[in-house]
Parts: sequence; structure tokens; C-alpha cells
Amino acid sequence: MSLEMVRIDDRFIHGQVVVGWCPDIEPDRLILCDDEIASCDWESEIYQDAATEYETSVCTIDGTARLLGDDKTKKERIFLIVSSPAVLVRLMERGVKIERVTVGGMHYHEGKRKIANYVFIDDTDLEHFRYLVRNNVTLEARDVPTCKPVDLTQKLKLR
Amino acid sequence: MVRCLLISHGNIAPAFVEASRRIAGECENVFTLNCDALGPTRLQERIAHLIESSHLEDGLFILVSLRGGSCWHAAAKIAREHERVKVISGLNLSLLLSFITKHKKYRFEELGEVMLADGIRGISHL
Repeated sequence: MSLEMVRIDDRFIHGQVVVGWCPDIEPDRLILCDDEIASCDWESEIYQDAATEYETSVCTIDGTARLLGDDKTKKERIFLIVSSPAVLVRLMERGVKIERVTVGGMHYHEGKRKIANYVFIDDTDLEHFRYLVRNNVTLEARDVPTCKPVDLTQKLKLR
Repeated sequence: MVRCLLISHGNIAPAFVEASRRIAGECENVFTLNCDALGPTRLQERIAHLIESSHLEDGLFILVSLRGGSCWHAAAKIAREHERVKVISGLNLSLLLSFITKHKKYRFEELGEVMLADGIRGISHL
């Protein structure tokens, strides 16, 4: 298994992912990792219908950790999508190895501050980003492949 | 009366309506919604509000450009909660004109099939 891309995007699978990134990455499998969506059959189906060209798995955090360690995905190029850095922390705590994380969209909610047009964070997010950086993850913000990546480790002074 | 809602980024939806108006004249049953400033939850709320406030008991077609895009997602979730809401992706002018010229001739269930066929027929290469 190779994690070709790990993306944080609270819209999960949508145009930027399907049309923007997938042709670049050519993944064998998209994994949408979210406990809430994975526990809802119809919502899982909507996301599976969203990118019919690509095999899509909708998994819980535990399910994702299991799938990534499974023989089934051994030779696959994986595109992993989560909604927040908190989910990545929990995946890493379950032994998932992550080297690079791309933030593609964390949208505005009350109490979050803007760090890029498409990235709004609060102190909890910041702590989780810090955990990722401490565990040698390269952290960047980049919504679409044609956009220049923003070094979040530097921008957020995480080191 | 069956209605039609176009949801898009930017000016795509109003531009389609303007183009169809020049071809087929005014159509009072077509609405547009720009999703640019709306996150996923607010977009769904706007669509739900429109459905509740517009007497859409005869049915509503939601047309979006991209299957799997954010407009499509919001529409798909709404359609799940409302029996008489159908979502068609791959918005093109043939599809919209099909609605405008045929929505009074067919029942809701049939109209969806007719629009889909017309929209697909509009895509070809020479």
C-alpha cells in the first residue's frame, strides 16, 4: 500500500478531488475516513456514487487502519480523505504511517480563524497539526494541483 | 406545476437560464442558486428552505453540472429526504430546454426520463 495523498477536506469527495486531483494521482482506491458517514448507509452510498471512476471505500477510523494494513490494499495507490487533523492523529495512534498531509479545505465555523482562503482553524486543530509535525509529517495547504503549496509548518510556526 | 432549480458555482446557472430564455422565451418555473459563498450545510439549508417555501408538491428537478461535485452532494442529500425531488447531473442547454418545453406535457416521473434522454442526445461528436 502506498499513501499517494492524504488530504484534509471537510467536503470530502467533490469536484476538486474527483476532477482536480484524481487524474494527477491516478489512485487505485479513494478512502473516505469518517466515523459518522461510515455508520450511515445512504450517506456512504452518495459518496461512493460521487467518484464512480475510482474504487471508493467509506470507512470508520478503525476500519481505515484495518484496511490500510490489509493484503487487499497491499499493492494499491491510496488517496485518503479526512475532514480534520484530529482524524489523522487517531489514525497515527493506530499505527498508520503518514508522511505528508495536504489541507484542501477546512471551512469556516464559529471560533475558527482564517489562515488561507480555504483553511480556518481553532486551537484544537493547531494542537493536532503540532502532533503531526512532531511525528515528522510534512504539512501543506493546497486546494488544487495548479495552486502553489503553502508550507503550514512554517506559517503556523509549528516547529 | 413542476419546477426546476439550477445550482452552480459562479454565473453558470443564470447564464444557462439567460441562454434558454433567448431560445424558448421566459420560463417562470426555473430558479437558480449560486453555491459559492455557501458551505455544504448552508447550501442544503437553502435548498430545503426553497422547497418548503415554494409549494413544490408537484415536484422539483435539481440540475447541477458535475456528478460528485459539492452542488450535487447537497442536492443528493435533499433528494433523499423529499420524494418528489430528482437530481440530474451533467447540466447542458439541451437538458434545460427539454424541461422548459416539455414540463407541462409530462407527469413528473416521465419528465425526468424525457429530460435525461434529451440531455444525453445533446451530447455528440461529429
